[in-house]
Amino acid sequence: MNTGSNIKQKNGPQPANAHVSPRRVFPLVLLLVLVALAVGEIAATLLQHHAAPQEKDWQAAAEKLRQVRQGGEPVLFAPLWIEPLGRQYLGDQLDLELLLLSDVDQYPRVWEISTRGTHHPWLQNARQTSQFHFGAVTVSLFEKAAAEVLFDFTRHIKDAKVQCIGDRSINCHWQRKRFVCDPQQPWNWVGPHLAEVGHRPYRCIYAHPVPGHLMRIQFTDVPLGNTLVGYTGIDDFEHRKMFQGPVALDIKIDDQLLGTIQHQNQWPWHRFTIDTTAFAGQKREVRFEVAAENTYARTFCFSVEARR
Amino acid sequence: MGEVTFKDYWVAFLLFCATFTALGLAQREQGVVRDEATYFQAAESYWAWIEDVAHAYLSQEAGHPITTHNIRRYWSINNEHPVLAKVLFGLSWRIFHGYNGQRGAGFHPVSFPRPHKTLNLLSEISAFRLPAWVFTGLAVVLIYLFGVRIESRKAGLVAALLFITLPRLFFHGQLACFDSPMVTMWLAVVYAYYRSLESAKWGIYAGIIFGLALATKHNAWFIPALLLIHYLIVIGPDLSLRPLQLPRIPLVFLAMAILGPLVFLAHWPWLWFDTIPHLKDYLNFHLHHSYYNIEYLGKNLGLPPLPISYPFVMTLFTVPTVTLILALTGLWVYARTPLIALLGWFGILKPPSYDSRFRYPAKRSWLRPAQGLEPRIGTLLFINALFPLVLIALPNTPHFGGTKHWLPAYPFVALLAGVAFSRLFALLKEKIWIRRLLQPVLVVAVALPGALSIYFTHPFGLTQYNALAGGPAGGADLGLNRQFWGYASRQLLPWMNKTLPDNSRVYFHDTNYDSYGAYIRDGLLRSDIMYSGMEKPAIENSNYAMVIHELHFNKYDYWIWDAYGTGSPVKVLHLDGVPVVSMYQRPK
Repeated sequence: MNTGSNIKQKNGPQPANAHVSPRRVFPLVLLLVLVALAVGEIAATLLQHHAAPQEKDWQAAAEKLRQVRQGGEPVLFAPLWIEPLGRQYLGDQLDLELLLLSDVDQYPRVWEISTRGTHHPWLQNARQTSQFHFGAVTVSLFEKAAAEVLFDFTRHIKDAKVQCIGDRSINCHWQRKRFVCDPQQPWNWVGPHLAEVGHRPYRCIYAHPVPGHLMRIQFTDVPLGNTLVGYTGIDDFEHRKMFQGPVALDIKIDDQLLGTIQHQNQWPWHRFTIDTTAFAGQKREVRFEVAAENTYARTFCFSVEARR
Repeated sequence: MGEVTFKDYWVAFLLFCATFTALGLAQREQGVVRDEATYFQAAESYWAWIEDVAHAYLSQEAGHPITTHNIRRYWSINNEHPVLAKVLFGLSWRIFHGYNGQRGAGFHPVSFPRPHKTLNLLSEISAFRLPAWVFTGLAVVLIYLFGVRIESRKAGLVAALLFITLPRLFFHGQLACFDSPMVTMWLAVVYAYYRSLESAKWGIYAGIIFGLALATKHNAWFIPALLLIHYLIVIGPDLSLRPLQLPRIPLVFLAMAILGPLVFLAHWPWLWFDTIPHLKDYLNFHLHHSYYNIEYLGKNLGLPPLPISYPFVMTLFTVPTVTLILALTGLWVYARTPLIALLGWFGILKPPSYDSRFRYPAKRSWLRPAQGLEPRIGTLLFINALFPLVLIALPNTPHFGGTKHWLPAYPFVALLAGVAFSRLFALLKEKIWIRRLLQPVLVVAVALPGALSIYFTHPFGLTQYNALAGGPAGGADLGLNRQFWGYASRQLLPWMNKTLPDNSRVYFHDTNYDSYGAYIRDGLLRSDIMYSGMEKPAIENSNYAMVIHELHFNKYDYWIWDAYGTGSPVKVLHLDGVPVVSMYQRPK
């Protein structure tokens, strides 16, 4: 219930500072906050739209790279999702093999094309030595110590001896760019492959395990250094999604087991390193043996290099 | 509470016209999504049956066209979904499209033996889509009228504008799919239910509208349970254990229980025979839906358990932030009093003084089941804004399709926002001319972020992310899905028509054969350009190949690299620097 004094206060003369009373200012402040939010969102939307790289930025970056990059030097993209545009603008500058690298350890100079101030994760420990800006696109050169690759097993897969060893052993024969182990089973082969692992592309040796058998890939006279550096993966997200089960990769020098990788279904492209210091400077036989308990849709792929 | 006047119907009509026109104009550039292409086929097939039936009766031909054989022939296509929307797509197509019997003749699901006269006003794709614009326009109308009734004209207008400027809603509103019609039907059921609380005739309407909602999409089956929860909350204060007797079931629920399934059964010839097996198939399809792939925070979601956060994070990053903040403020407007009362009950806060126009005794009956009771508008809006998200958040619910699955929440989000805006504005004590000046400025200011986002992202609506996410590029940084349904290839067609040699074989990737057929039929794609097929053999068999960029589709990129020996596309479509589609050419 209102008292008489209240009524008088409401109807009577207003105090001089009435226009700043909290009851009047509060709604104004709320509305101002609302307007500020809206204006902020509008401004951010406009800025984000106009911050995108333009075609001329890409063209200028590609032209610069053509001038300064030496053949065979890899180009990385950051963030990764800009890669299709980068590949389009670089066009013939990019050899397919350079798009399928597992790392850039062997390269002393690596180029990066980036937007949004990002850097490729492989370049964390590299030193940036030059940088060129073309609008929203940045071209950078990174330099670092390079690992020396003595033998790339994927590159020499044709020279390997491939056997499927079980109750009865099968020698797999090289036919049309791959070792075919059983022509009746189109998945049963060993050879160079372009795999998708963790939604990224890699060049590797495809070797699907065979039920009750061991898939052996044997290289002779391999020059060895201090390490074998390799990667394993299961090709194609559909196979990883629909099927389960690890795949084992044994790595042997002569008959000596140096390591086993139990590659799990959901692993990304998994790096491993094996110490071969004891064999450094020698040429030896290196064997890779692939097996799995549950072999269905285990589209296994691996890549290994002997490094100094 | 406001009353709807004649003037409001005019405003609603103008909103409808604006929405219809905007969607109709925008969709001309919009690609045909995978499901839509299937619905085109289904719509045409269903309509062929209707024409057969009509022709048989009108010409008094011998033989009955409504036979199991005949129904099976025309209605088995896409029989996992009810047919209301598809029949409307077919009707619109039959009336409005410019028929060209020569172009793409092989892409029709059935042949039309009789002359095919039409108004020749729209392309075939546009004609199929027109009912979707009507549905979306009706949603805007309903939101406006609902807003006027529950709060004010201002609330209705702001809610309607915030709704149609939701970028993802605007995208789906253009398409001949069920998602936008379902938004309208869900809202219509809730609106009819709300009116039925004090009106018997609206109880009957609610039953019929619910049946039409069931005839639109399967998620309508959840609505009665939500309304029942709301109803129990409304009558809670009026319930008594003495005398202990079960209350009579309100008319609105009886109507939904009886008329709903009746309308559902009646509308769908597929259920007129082998009813139980066909119903079982329908239920099983939706209960055991396959798990498609979708990217979320850098990971490809495939199999359950799926993250509960998905619909909430996607809403946070796709709905304009101003709209979300206003909606949360609207929630606070409604929740403040009960919340403070609750805290007061625990002695934490001083309870607020109770001031309500709803006084006992209530005059409720089964015909007017909440008469005299507080209708708990806030609760009604909140339940319907939250449930569609919660349903998708369940770890075993497939997350395919992204935001489209919880679009029915958005009218209620918009209404909460509209109410907040209205209440905030009502607090202003400024002079009336200042308020009149401020009002349109503020209305435009809150609707502009969404409108701008639509403008900048059209026609790649599924690549849209709001400013909070950093726009489309921010969405890509966050690892959020940027494509779905294979529709973006539409923007490549002019380039393909101009560039590709005669009789090129193209791998269209996620753009399905029916979408390709729709482009040929509408003259958007040269008819000599061939569809090379699906998966790896189609890539091997092609001389051009495209990849629509979704994380799990990367493997197609690599298959193309392998087959073509190059990793460099000749054309990349992008939105604000975010690649959407890549096109490769096999090196000569």
